[in-house]
Amino acid sequence: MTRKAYIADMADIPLKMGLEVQNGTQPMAIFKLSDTEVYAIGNICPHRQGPLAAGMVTGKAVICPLHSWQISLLNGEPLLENAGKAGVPTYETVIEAGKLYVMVD
Amino acid sequence: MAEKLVVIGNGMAGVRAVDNILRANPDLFEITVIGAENYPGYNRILLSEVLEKEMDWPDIITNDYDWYTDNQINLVNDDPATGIDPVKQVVTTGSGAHFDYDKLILATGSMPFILPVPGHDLKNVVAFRSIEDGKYMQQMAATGANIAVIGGGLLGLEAAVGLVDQGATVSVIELAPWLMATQLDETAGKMLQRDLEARGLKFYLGKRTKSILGDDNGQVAGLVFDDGQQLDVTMVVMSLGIRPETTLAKAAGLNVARGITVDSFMRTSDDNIFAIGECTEFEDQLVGTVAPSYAQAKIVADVLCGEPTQPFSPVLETIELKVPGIDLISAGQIKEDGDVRSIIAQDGVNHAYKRIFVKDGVVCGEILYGDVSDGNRYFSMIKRQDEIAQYQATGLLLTEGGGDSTEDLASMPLDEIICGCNGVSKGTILDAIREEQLTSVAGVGKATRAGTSCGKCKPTIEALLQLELGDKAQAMTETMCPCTDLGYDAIITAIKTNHWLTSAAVRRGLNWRTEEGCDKCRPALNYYLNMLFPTEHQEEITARWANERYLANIQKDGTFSVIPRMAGGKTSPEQLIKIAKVAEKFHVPMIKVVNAQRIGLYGIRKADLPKVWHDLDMDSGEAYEKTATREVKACVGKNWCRFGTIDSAGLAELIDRNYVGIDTPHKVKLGVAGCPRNCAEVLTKDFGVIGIEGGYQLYIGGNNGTQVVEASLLTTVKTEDEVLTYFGAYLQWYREHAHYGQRTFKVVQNTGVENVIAMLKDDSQRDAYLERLAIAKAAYQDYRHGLAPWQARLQDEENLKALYTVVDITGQTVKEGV
Ligand SMILES: Cc1cc2nc3c(=O)[nH]c(=O)nc-3n(C[C@H](O)[C@H](O)[C@H](O)COP(=O)(O)OP(=O)(O)OC[C@H]3O[C@@H](n4cnc5c(N)ncnc54)[C@H](O)[C@@H]3O)c2cc1C
Ligand code: SF4
Ligand code: FES
Repeated sequence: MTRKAYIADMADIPLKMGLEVQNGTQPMAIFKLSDTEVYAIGNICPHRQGPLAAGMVTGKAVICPLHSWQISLLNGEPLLENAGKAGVPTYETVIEAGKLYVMVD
Repeated sequence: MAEKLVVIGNGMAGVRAVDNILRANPDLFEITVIGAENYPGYNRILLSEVLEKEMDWPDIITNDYDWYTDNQINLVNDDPATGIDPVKQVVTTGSGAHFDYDKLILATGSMPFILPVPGHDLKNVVAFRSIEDGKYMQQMAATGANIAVIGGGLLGLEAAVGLVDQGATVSVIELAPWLMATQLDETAGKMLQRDLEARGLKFYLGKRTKSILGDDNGQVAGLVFDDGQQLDVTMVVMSLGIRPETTLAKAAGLNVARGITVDSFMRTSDDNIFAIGECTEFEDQLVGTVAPSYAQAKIVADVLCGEPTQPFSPVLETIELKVPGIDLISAGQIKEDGDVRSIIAQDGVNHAYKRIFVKDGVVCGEILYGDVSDGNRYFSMIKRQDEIAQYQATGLLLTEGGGDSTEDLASMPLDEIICGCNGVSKGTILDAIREEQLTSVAGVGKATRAGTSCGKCKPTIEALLQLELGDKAQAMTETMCPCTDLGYDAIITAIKTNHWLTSAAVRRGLNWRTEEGCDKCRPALNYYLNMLFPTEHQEEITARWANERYLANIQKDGTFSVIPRMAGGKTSPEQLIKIAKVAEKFHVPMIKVVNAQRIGLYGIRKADLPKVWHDLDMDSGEAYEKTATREVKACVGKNWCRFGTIDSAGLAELIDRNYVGIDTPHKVKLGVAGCPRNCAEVLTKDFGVIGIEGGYQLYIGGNNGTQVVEASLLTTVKTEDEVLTYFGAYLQWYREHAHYGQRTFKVVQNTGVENVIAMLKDDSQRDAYLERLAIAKAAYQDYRHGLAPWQARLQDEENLKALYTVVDITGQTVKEGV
C-alpha cells in the first residue's frame, strides 16, 4: 500500500543540495530546485552505490560524488555516457501547506 | 540484405577504414572487426608519448567500445583470426568462431623483428608495439630496472627516453657507428647522442649483440657483445625494425612478397580480399608509417562504397623524433654520392645544424638538428623539386624573409599537405575553417582529422587559424569542460574584464551550453571568482564537491573521515585523549595514522559530523580541501635529531599557521627536512624545504602520485622569514596560473621551471604576489570570522542544518493511503 510520508517543512529543505532520507532498504535523496519543484529519487547510485544526496545538482540532474555519474532527477535514469544503464527509483512528491511529503510503498 | 564485411586487424589502418566506410555509407555493410589485442581502437603512434609521460593510456583510445556498439560493428576482440578460406569465404578465429564474408580487409600490421640470438625467447625480452608492451615496460621501469634497448633508430630512442622517464636505467645498443643512421649523418647523430646522454641514456655504438643471458627462472640476467663485453641488464627491448604480418595471407594462398602484394586500389590477388597498412607491399615498397596506412584506408573504403578515388602512390614524408626538447627533421635523400652534393651550416653557439642535399640543381634531402624552423620550407622544396639556381648555394641556408613563418604559411600553396598522417592540405583546412566557422585546433581536428594522429602539425594548424581569424582564433588550450569551447585563459580573462561576480553571470556571459554547468566547471568557476575578487565574490556552496561542502572526505560507502589538525605532525596528550574519547563514543570503525602525519577517524556518518567536531574541539586538518597547508610533513629536526641543522617541525608549524585555509586550484603538499638526509621525503612535494648548515634550500614542483616528479631547487635562503615569503609568492603564483585541478608540477612544467625560478627570485614580483596573497588571506579569514573551518561551521546554524540533517522515515505511518 502506498503511504504518504512527511519529510520536512519546505523552508527547511536546502536549495539545490540533496537531503538524505533513510527509509529501511530504500533510502531516498530529495532535491529542492525551487519552492514549487522538488524531486525524490533513490539515494543509491546504480554505479557503485554512491550516496546521491551528497552529489552536486546541475539543471535537473545530480552528479554522484563518487565517480561523477549523472542521474536524472525526473526519471532516475543515468545520463550522458551512461544513458541506457540501470537507474534509481523515483518517488512522487507532494507539497501541502508548506510541508513536503513523499509517496512510498 | 547488407553485404558482410570482415576486417582482420583492429589497428590504426583497420579502424580508419571502417570509420571511412561508415562516413561514406553506414548501411552498406554488416561489419565485423576481428582483433588480436584486448583494446578498442587506439593511436599506436602515441605509445611513445605515454611512456614519456606526456599522456596516459586512456588518452590514446581513438574509438572506444561505445563507438563499435553505436555503429553496430561486431567487434571480436582478443581473439585473433587463425585462418581464411577464400573459396567458402569464411574466417576462423582462435576461439573457433567462424565469420562469413563477402568482402574481407586484411589490416594485420606488422611484427617487430626479433634478433634471433640465444636468449631472445627469455621472459623479459620484449618489443614495443602495443599497449600491453607499453604497460609491461612501464611496470618494469618503475622498479628501477636496468634495461637494454637494442636498436638506436627512431622507435628505439623514443622507447629508451620513455623508459628513463619512467625511472629505469637504460643502455641503447646500436650496430651502426651513430644514432638513427638511416636518417641522420654522423654530425647530427652525435649531437643527438650528446643531448640524449644529458637525459641519462647510455650508448653502446658499433656493438653487435651475441647473446642474452638468462637465469634459472627464464628471466634476463645480462647481455653479451661479440667482443666479449658484458652488460648487467634485467630486461631487453628489441627495436630493430618491423616485418609485415602476412601469416594468414600466405596460408590462404594470396600473393605475398615481403608484404601482401596489393595493386593501387588495395586489391590482393583474390578479388574479394583487400589489404591495407603495414602488412602490405605496393610496387616493392613497404609501409612503415601512418600517412600511407591512412591513405590506403581511404582508398579501400572508397572502392568498397563505390566512390570515386585516386590510385595509391607512396608519399614523401619527413622523419621527426617524438622526444620533447629534441628537435630534428630528416627527409628525402640524405647520403652524398656521385650526383648528390650537400651544403652544411653549423651554429655552435645555438647548438644547431643544417645540411641540405642537392641533386642536379634540385633540393632532394634535408637534415636539421636543433633548429627545425626551416624544415617545412625545405621539405616543400624537396616535394616541389625546386631548382636552386635562383638561390645562391649558401643563401639556401639563410632563413628566408627574416624568419617570418607567418609569411611562409601565407604563401604556402593550397594543396600543400599540413597534416602528413591524415593527408590534409592547407586548402582543406581553410575550407573547413570558413565553412564550419571553426576557431580551434580541436575543431579543425574534428572536421578534417588534421592534427589527430601524431600531433606534430598542431602548431601549424594553430598558426593557420590565427592567420585566417586573427585574434578570434582560440589558442590551443584545453577547454574547461564540455559545457564550453573556451579554454581556461579565455574564461579567466573574460571574468576579469567583465568583473562578473557570480558563476551564473559567467555562464550567461560566455554562452555556456548548460544552464548550471557540470561538476568540472562549477567548482572551477567558484574558485576563479574567489581568487580574482576575494573581497567581493560570495562563496557558492552548491558548487562545491561533497568533500569541500561537508568539510569532510567522503568514503566509498558514503561515510566520511574526520582528520584534526596536527601542525608539523606534533601532538599532545590532551589531543590524543580527546581523539580517543571521540573514537570510543562514536564507535569509529577505523583509526589510522595517515601519511600527512596526523590521525584520521574513518567511517563517520554524515549526521554525526557536527557532533564529532563539537566533541573534538580541535582545529580541522582540512584534509578534504584544496588548500595551501593541508599537509606539511616534517622530521623532528635539530631539537632532537643529532644531524639536524634546522628546527624542521617548528618551521612546518610556522608555515602551516601562516598560510592555513587559503583556497588553491588543487591540494598543495609541503615537506620540511632538517638536513639533506631528507627523512621527510620533501623532494616529491609541491614545496619542499631542506635544512643545510646556515640556511634553507627551497624546492618547488615535485609530485608523488600517478606521476612521480622530482622537485627543482628554487633557491637557498638564510631565515625562516624568507622561507615564508618565497612560499607565499609561489603559492599566489600557482593560484593565479593553474587550471583548476592542476597540481603545481604541471603548472611549473608548462611555464618552464627556469622561468618560475627567475620570477620568484625577482624582488618586485615576489612582493606583488605576496600583496595579493595577503588580501586573499584576509578575505578567507573574514569569511570564517577568524575561526578554523569547523569552528566556523559549528556556529553557522543555517548550513549546519542544511548540510548534515538526515531524515528517517523508516516505518513511519503518518498519513496512510492517498
Ligand atoms: C611506438 C610506436 C611509435 C610510432 N610512431 C609513429 C610516428 O610517429 N609516425 C608514424 O607515422 N608512424 C608511427 N608508428 C607506426 C604506426 O603506428 C603504424 O604505421 C600504424 O599503426 C600502421 O597501422 P596498421 O593498421 O597497418 O597496423 P597496426 O596499427 O599495428 O594494426 C594491426 C593490428 O592487427 C592485429 N592483428 C595482427 N594479426 C592479427 C590476426 N591474425 N587477427 C586479428 N588481429 C590481428 C594486431 O594485433 C594489431 O592490433 C609508430 C609505431 C609504434 C609501435
Ligand atoms: S632529515 Fe636530517 S634532521 Fe631530519 S630526521 Fe632526518 S637526519 Fe634528522
Ligand atoms: S557510485 Fe556513483 S558514480 Fe560511481
